Amino acid sequence: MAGTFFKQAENGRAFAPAKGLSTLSLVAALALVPLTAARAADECAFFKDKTVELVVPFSAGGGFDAYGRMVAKYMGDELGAANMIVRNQPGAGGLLATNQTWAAKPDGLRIQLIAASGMIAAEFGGAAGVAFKTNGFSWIGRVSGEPDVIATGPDSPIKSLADIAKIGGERTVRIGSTGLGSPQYITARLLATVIETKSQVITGFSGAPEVFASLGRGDLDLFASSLSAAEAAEKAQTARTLWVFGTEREPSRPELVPLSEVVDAKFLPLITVQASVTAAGRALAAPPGIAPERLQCLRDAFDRTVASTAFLDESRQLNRPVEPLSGKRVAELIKTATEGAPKEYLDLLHESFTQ
Amino acid sequence: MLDAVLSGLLQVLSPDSMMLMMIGIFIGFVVGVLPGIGGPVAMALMLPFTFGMPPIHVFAFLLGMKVVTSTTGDITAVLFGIPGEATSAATVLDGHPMARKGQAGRALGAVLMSSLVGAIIGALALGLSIPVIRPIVLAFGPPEFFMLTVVGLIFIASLSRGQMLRGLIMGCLGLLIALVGIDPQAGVPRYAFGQLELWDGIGIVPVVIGLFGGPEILQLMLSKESIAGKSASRKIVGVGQGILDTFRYWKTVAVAGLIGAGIGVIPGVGGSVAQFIAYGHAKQTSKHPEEFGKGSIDGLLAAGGNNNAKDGGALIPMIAIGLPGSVSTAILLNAFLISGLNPGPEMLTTHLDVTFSMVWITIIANIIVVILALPLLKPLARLTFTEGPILVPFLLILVVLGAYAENNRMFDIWVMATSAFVGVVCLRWNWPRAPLLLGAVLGDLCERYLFLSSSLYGWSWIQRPLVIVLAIAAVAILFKTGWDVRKHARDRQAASLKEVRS
Repeated sequence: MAGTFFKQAENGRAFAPAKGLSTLSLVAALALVPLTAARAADECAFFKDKTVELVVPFSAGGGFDAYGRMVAKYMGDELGAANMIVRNQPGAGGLLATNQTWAAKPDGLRIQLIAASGMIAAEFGGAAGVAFKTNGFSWIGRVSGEPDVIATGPDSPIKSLADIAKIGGERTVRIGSTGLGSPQYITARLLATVIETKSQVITGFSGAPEVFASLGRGDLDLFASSLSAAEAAEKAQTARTLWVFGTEREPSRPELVPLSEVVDAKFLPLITVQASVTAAGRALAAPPGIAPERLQCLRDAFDRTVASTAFLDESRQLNRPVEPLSGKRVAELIKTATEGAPKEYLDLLHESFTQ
Repeated sequence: MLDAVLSGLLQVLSPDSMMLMMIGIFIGFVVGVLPGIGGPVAMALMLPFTFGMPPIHVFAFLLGMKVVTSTTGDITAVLFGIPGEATSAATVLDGHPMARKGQAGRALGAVLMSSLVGAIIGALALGLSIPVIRPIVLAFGPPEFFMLTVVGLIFIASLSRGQMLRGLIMGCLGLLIALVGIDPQAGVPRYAFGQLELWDGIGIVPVVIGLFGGPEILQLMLSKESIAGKSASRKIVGVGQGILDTFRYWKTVAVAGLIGAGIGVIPGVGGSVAQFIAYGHAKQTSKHPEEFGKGSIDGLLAAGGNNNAKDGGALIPMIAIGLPGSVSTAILLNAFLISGLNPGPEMLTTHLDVTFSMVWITIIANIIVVILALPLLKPLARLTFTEGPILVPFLLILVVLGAYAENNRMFDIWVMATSAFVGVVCLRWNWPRAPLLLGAVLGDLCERYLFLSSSLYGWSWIQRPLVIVLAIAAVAILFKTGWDVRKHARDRQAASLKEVRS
């Protein structure tokens, strides 16, 4: 209870004007604190005896689903809800469920695990069927946000950018990808841009496993995928990871050099924006317009969930690493990524979706 | 190697694994019998229960559950004409007519035994391929997969014998259905009419349930009689004869099993296509192709022997390089990662015992399900004597639930209902349904692999040795079908001439 009180107090201050804080407003702010706290307690009591639906926008049995189920298992209790159930609502690469969550009643009883990076790309690329604004969701918190990495075949001669340029001098460099408009296509296109050599993005693979199979066969030169997918492929000996798609090293794989240090410095803004979009990762959100106190309840329950030993133990046991981030930080991350994107990046997204 | 074979067996036979396998088999039995609610859905729902189990326990539970669904799905197909699984549609074609003639016992006996034989063939294919598994899997790239889908499409011809034009039209209709959804290369929605539900294409499960189950339910509603009708004898006999039939037609079953194991390897194709290729092949080689679709025992055995064999085949690329061949192997792949295993060379060296345990689980679970199902056959076959008006409401609930369950959406129920309408029209005016399904499943893959082949290799993919071999096979199958059809027509003409003269 005390934790909730202080967090509310922080919020109370945040709303006050930073400059020219008069005694009157201080008194008013202080008077508001217990009031907000009491309202928040009321708002949290709302969830008692209720069933909260956590929507997973993909089929049951996959990686995304595993994260959704892990959160739902512990967050229901932290929220004080009678139940938190997972509902799989696959369709249109997650757009179907995300559109419905955007339009759902903002009472906190329907929340969704969103593939934030894919949705940001779809929105800014002007993809058909997008009926939401990623920035407008009530972000509850991020579950995982692993970086993307760049991989090559296990027997490929590629070790440096110069090796890629050498291949590019002889023939087209082949970069694998799933269909146009998929998050993998966008990273593939960016990769094609930053390597500055003759290259072709080969689309049409059904998913990362099939691209890795082709990489292992030696049909392709490069592929950008999530770190966990690349690590699985490394173990299956169908890939060798080269670089992290970003500007910082990944603590679990310190030997991997960030792409920003490999390619020309002029591409730094492109790589930075893509890295922060990817960092938004798999995040939990409620529909826009939810009462701030109720959102705070959800955020607090989420923070407690992802900090609990039981949750972290399960994440380790299932080999599903989590990198939690508070709802406020996710909202900021998405705001920066969407508002500060360079024109070149937006053009590329646009081209990916409306070609 | 032999150590790993034995160690795999002993670990599967441990009390804990066996108990988990029995639970898995029980769940698989029930979901297999229920139309639509199939192996993948059950596995996805049960996956969280495996958290924290050692790998062999996980596979005993999940794989045990999966492999029995094809067998029990066939039971529903025989009894009610509604495929219990998407892979049991071919079983409907001959199994159900047998049930309507009052031969449900014989059909069930044949289906059970051929399923077991098929499963053993699939498991052996997996077991024997282990030493050469990686080179084999890596030898097959998009061009080879494309040619295999072409071979599959050619079977539309043998499935349409006697009504070639209608078969071709239905096959084209299937290809058109496959076009619906996001274009795999350009990412543009095709024929989606602004509906996000259509972006992922039309689901094959609701199509199969509607197309094959719909007409049967309607017939049952209209006739107001039991499935077996009034005329048939009320005694259920012939289970033993059905089992014997499997061995009498061992060649049909073995070839069907091999086709299943082979096609199971191709990512994305799976049992819904393999069953019809095996069925088409059996029809082509049978001495009595005209009996197919009217209760032919060869046709039933081919369908039964095929759909259990594909599970072994589908495991091959998953174990070798982590490439799942079907929805259920994708879920198994997740189970791999959860239990800390990595597909690839590890599965062929340090964890070879786990790989062999999968071979054993496939065999043992199939033996157990046959033993469990045998005493249940008589009471189950008795259901075909239940009056239509009592049975129909239950069947309707099952097909609606089954269509809904895969993606939790109403839209799929409409797809099922539309397919049921098409199915009724096909049955009434004698249009073949299998080509439509073949086109719908293969069209999408055929297009994707062709595009990938050409963007990876230009035109040089045509010169790849395996592509040439498969192309020759495709042409040979086409000619053989054409030859058989002509010969059959000539024989019939000669026979009718003889009749006229006499």
